[in-house]
Amino acid sequence: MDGTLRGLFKKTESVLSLLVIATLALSCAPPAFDVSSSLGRRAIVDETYRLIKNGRCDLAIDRIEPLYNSTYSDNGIRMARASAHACLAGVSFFDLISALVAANIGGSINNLWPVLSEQFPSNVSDTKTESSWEAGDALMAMLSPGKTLASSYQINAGTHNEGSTRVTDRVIYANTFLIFTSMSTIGTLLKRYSAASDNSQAAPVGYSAALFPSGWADVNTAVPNFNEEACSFAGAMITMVETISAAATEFGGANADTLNAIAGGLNLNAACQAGCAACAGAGGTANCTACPATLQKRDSCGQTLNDNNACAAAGIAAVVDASWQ
Amino acid sequence: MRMRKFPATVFATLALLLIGLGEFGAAFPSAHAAGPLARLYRGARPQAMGGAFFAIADDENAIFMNPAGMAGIRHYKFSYLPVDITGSMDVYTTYSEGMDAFSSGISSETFNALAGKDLFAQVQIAPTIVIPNLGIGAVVDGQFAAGAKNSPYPILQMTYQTTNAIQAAWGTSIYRDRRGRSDLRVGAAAKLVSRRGGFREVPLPDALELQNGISSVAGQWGLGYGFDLGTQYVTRLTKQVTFSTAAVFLDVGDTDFTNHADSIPGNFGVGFAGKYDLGFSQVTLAYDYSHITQDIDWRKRTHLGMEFKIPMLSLYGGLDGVGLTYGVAFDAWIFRVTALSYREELGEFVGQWPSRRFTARIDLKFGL
Repeated sequence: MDGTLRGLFKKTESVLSLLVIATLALSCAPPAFDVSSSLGRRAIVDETYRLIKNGRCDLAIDRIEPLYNSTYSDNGIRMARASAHACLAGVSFFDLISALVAANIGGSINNLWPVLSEQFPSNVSDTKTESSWEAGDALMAMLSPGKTLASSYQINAGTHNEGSTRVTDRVIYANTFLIFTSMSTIGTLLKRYSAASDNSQAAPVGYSAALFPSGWADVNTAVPNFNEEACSFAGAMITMVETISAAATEFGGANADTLNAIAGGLNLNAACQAGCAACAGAGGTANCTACPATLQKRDSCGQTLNDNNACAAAGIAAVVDASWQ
Repeated sequence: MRMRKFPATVFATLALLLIGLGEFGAAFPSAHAAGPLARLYRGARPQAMGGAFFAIADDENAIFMNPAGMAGIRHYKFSYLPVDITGSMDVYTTYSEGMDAFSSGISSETFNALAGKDLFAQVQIAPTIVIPNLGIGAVVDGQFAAGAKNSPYPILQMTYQTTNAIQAAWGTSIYRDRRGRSDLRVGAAAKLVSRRGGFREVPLPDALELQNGISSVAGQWGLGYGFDLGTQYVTRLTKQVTFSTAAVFLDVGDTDFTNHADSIPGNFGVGFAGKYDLGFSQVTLAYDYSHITQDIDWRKRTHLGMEFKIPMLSLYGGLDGVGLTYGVAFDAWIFRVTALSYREELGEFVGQWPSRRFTARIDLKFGL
């Protein structure tokens, strides 16, 4: 009897030990957001979208950035990174597209600027414009397989996310998303430098009175030197028109009609040519008949009347200013 | 003493063989798609017990969860109309908020109604025939789920999957001690499965075209076949207490389909169970560690379950991962009704995208 009880106890002890081990296993530390593991990378992307859903755009950026900057970066990770920054920049697809459709852009391109300014509220103390740039960089890095990048179109060379400003180098989803991140760059800059509260005439920073003696509404408050913000404004305009032309038909219906009306209402090559001509008329040597291929790079603009990119960009800004009176 | 060690040695050898298969599989881990863990069959009783069933395997669920358990079946049973209907909590809350968002195609209202949600519905019909050592089951399963994420550039998450399968499971004892207190069992099952669709993420602008039909998400029917292997060691410690262990490999080498239907990844797992028979009532505790070859959060592999059974009534509880499961069943010989709730984890890590789901099962049957 005693031996039987001892044997029973030993067997019961084994059973209980196994269950205790199992219970302890349940209370061990959770897995980490480890960039070096496949599970960790998938979880990082999942967590990024979860934080975007909860409106924590800043935390979503913090979560995805290490993975985006690692050797493991791929198009899925770039899309998540672009989404996190687009979240901070204020991009919301359905809100934006419905506002654009309602604005009757086909009736007048002038209706575009108030919409973008209202959709993307921003001021110089926030980082919404900068986030729109980062979103655009990530999307430009979503390349189609097998593409060889020409240096004139290449951005972020030498990083794990080399990109191309050429629309045909990228996958279709990158181009469709770039339509709206470009709008966020344009809208945040319009809002930052527009007149007070009524979304009236705006002047993107950096366009000095010396470049356009007839002046802008806010030229006296603008930074006197042509800078990254000013260059990015023009670059975003070109990106917006190019990606609409390449990808708007993917949407169909009224959405496609509205987007095509935007692209059709802006003759950017003529604007660039007029800008170069204005610089030449003011004593510079700028000479362009179309928008320079490199103008979509926001660090490509110089600060003299001899620089094609800066003068072309100024021409684009003048068109916006003239149509938004 | 030598004979009492023998079944343990044989079981350990068989388990090591299966573990070896699992290690081989771990070197080539099964592909893992986002969303819940894929499986062919979800039984109400195992699910109510937190998914812990490998070592129990004492009813028709063994056909799909551990074929070795067929060796312990001593009765005849025909379950001719077992119907499981499952829905997520989000279905109820979304319906309560109103269905206007779905009345006219994909719009901002649709996205807002779906954002961060899991609208899930499933119907599973799985008739079975069970005789000593052998079981045959069929599965007719339809699942639909919808959700959305990423307001800057919306992505629709959709599940549209229909599955028809037939599975046969055979189990036998390979060693039983002279007093009948220990029983070492092995089993195998084969399945033929026809499946269409699966889990898909649909980005813009394709998502806007879904109002024209979801056949592009579902795809074409695909055919696949798969195999399960199982072992089970049952030992009666006393007249009241029975202890069992199991090692199982379901869908060995993955069950893949033609025409891009979602595959069923291989599921290697081990389980332990203890049953305490009080005569009028019975208490069962079980623990499984499953999906060992899959690259997933280890917490999703853990399953802890409990069954308290009295005549005609069973109560269930458990932890599936870290999600609470609970249920109740009423059995009146020719029919059995079960209601249960469980938490499905849709994210990569436990806690990222949990979804509370509810299942009601009616099972028309007769047996000897």
